[in-house]
Amino acid sequence: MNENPSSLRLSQVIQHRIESMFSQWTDMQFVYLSTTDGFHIFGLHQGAENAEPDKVAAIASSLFALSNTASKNILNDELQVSIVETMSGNIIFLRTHLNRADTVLTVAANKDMSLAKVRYHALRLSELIESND
Amino acid sequence: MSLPDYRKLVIIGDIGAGKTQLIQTLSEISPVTTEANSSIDIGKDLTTVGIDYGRISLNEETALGLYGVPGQERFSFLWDMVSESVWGLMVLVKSTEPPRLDYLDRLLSHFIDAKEKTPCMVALTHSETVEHSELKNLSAQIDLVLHERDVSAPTLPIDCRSEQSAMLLLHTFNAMNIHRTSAT
Repeated sequence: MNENPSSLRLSQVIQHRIESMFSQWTDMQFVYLSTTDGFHIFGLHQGAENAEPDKVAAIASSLFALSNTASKNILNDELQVSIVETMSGNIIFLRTHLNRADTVLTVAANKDMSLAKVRYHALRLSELIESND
Repeated sequence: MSLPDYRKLVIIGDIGAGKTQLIQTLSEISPVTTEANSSIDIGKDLTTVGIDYGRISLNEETALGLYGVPGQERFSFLWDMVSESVWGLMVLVKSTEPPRLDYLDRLLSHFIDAKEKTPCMVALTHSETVEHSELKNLSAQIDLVLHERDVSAPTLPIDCRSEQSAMLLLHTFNAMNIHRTSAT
């Protein structure tokens, strides 16, 4: 059985552009891209040692699927973003596409970055990832 | 009118064992499913990545919450979420593939409370196309693991698509629980 979604790769160019953006956002803790069935594709982190990529990928897929079930059952629509707020920071789970496949972009930032800003940066990253197609 | 006694049945098993189908067959409410497109070759398009949920009334006094969780190790944080106050554990084993006995042992150690003697059952799925002798051999291997863990659990074939087959297992479970309660 193939254990890796090897067809889902970010190009070097896109990876470098994400790295360049991420290095400027000092309050952002990590950016992880994973498949909707819980496999890690790409990630960057600064500080957040607890956020193991494989664990985040599995959690992101579960949370995204549960949130999507809620949005479909309650609002009759597909989920776009799921937000987790804590006293110390925020996490955004955003639906994005890599090579036309549904993927989840998980972005976490400490409380010094506003939720609006995290969301804005996540959308910019998502646009960049989708340009990989 | 008092609310029915609500209990939790955890259904777990490897990819494609039939968890989602079993909950769909048994549930009296529209089940909650959390499937995603599979990005690797698992022999089917969709795979469960969250908790599947359904509900069934055993009688006027007792209702069962059916909690299906993915069997893959990377989702073991979900196992922790559902492993408290478990009324029963149903492990689905795909009988068309060689059994992963170490994996079965890990599931038992995670979910079975040795002190409480959590009722457990092993259901052999996709057994319609498997020879009787092979099923018997598979059951014997599983029984060894159960014995080593000191778990007394029946191993029975099930057709997850059949309400009759699924209900038979649930009633067996209920009888095991009644027996356990009356013994303590």
